[in-house]
Amino acid sequence: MAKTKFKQRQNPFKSDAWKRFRKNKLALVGSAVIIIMVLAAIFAPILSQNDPYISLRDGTKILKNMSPVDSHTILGTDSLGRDEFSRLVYAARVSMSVGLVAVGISTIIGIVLGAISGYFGGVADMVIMRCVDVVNCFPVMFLIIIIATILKPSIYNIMIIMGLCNWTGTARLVRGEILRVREMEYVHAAVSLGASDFRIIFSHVIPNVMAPIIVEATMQMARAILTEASLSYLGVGVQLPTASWGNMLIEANNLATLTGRPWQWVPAGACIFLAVLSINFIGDGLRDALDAKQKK
Amino acid sequence: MGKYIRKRLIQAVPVIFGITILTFFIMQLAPGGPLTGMISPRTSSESLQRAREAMGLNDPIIVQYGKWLVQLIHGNFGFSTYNGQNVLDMILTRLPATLLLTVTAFVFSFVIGIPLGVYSATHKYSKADYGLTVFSFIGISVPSFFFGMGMIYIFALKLKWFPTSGFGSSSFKGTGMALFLHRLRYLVMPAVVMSLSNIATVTRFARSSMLETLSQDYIRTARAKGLSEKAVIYKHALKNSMIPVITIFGQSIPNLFGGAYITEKVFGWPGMGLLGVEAINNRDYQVLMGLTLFTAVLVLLGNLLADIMYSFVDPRIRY
Repeated sequence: MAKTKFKQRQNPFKSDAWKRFRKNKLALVGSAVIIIMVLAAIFAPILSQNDPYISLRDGTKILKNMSPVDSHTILGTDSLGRDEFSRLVYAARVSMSVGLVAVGISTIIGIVLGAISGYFGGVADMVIMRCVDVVNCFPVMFLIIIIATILKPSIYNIMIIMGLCNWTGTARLVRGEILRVREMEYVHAAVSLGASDFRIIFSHVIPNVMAPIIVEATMQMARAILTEASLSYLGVGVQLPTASWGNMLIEANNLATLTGRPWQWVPAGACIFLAVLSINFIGDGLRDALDAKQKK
Repeated sequence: MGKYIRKRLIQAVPVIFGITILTFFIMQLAPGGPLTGMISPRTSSESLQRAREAMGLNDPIIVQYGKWLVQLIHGNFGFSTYNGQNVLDMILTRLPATLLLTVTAFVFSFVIGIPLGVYSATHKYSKADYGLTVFSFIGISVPSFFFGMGMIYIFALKLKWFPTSGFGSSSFKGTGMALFLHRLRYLVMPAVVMSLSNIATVTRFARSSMLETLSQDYIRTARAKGLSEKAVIYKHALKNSMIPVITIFGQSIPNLFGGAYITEKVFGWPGMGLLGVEAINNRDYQVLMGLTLFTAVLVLLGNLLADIMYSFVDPRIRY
């Protein structure tokens, strides 16, 4: 049964879901923006004229605070004379991969714990749900900040910490969905055929609750990029000199930069905003397309 | 009702323990562990050894947790690893500023968000509804520090309507109403920045809740008996649709406190968030722990309050 159903899905561009997704103009625009950003991130070395970590010099003089009107660079240079545009595209790599890995980790944790909680119920359910309550009491920012400060911030630590702190939403969602499908006939059929719990959960139940999980993961990706940017801005995320969109805005703490050199902070802020907005649009489109009815 | 509240209070007990256990284990990762920071730095070097023994730094971990918990219950949140001050005192001096900011942002979110959501729902699929939907997407997507910087750039530096940062001018001598009005100018921008994403969330939630209510049978009855649309919406639908919005009360508390780090840093607002930022720069784990624990308990209390309010407003809730 599952096999034939899978075959029908092989061309995603002919499916109903794609037809519904296509109708959502905002989601299409969002997808286009994200595709461009991902391509820019992948081809960062080709796109950037200058090394993002080297101060540009004219003879011995560092070309500091150069405005975009100059011809050497596309978006000018920062206060250390580094090419802003190069830093921006390299930062896209960092910000997006941090978001992707963090959401990957939290989604896997959420699925496993939510599945255990929903499928087995009883003590396991109670313990896991109380854990969810506990983690939810901490403002996520506070929790991530204290762990990141203790563990010394680095890209990898940030990915792991964000993954470990953000699983509660997915866990709750998966639990609820599993409670819903657990009593369905195909699950009873699988049980009567003698399938193991593991097999029932991961090859019968999870595939059928994938739609809301995908939507939730997309929305989380948007939040993860925002969180990473905030952490890097506060100095506990991605550490300088590695560029991330968040830590590029640290320069704007200086009032002279804020007023006099907008090219040093507006593009990075705009990139965060555009990326997050686009992913949220995509998530919204996916929700309609996959018919994943969920609140919020 | 009493039974529900009692049950809800009992449920909160394991959560409180969970919060302390999680914090304790996070602090295990910090150099010195959770207990070292609780010894006053003013202890002389002779009595230091005794203090360390009294703290039981060599005890099994469960015993250490117990001792740590006892210290917490006695109000000992430890001493700053940076300047030796009592952490609880540091937090309490910063608390009023943060509360002023978060409460204002909280009020903004609901006072602005609910009418927008209701308007959006009653004008479903109109241009305004579409615009508000896009607005709420923008609201949850814009990084608060970027938004804050933009606000400072436009409203403080270009238009000079508001001061760029701070909590009030030190040369200001007025009291009472004058002081309040003086502070108000400093409060507006951070409160707007802090509440933006919350306004967006409340708008969307209020909209879907109102739409759900408008599809109920009793609304059809009200319309069928010839009531005006105004009476249907404001007399019958509004109150009922606002009940689920209370659940957002609880959820928005951790969001607002979490936003304090960023907003207070951007605007130099001397609250708990700024204290946290200073602690990050000084690697002051004890202060960060105190802040985390303190806000977690505040959030727990806020959630409890929201749930109890909910059970008052909607007597159908029974566990």
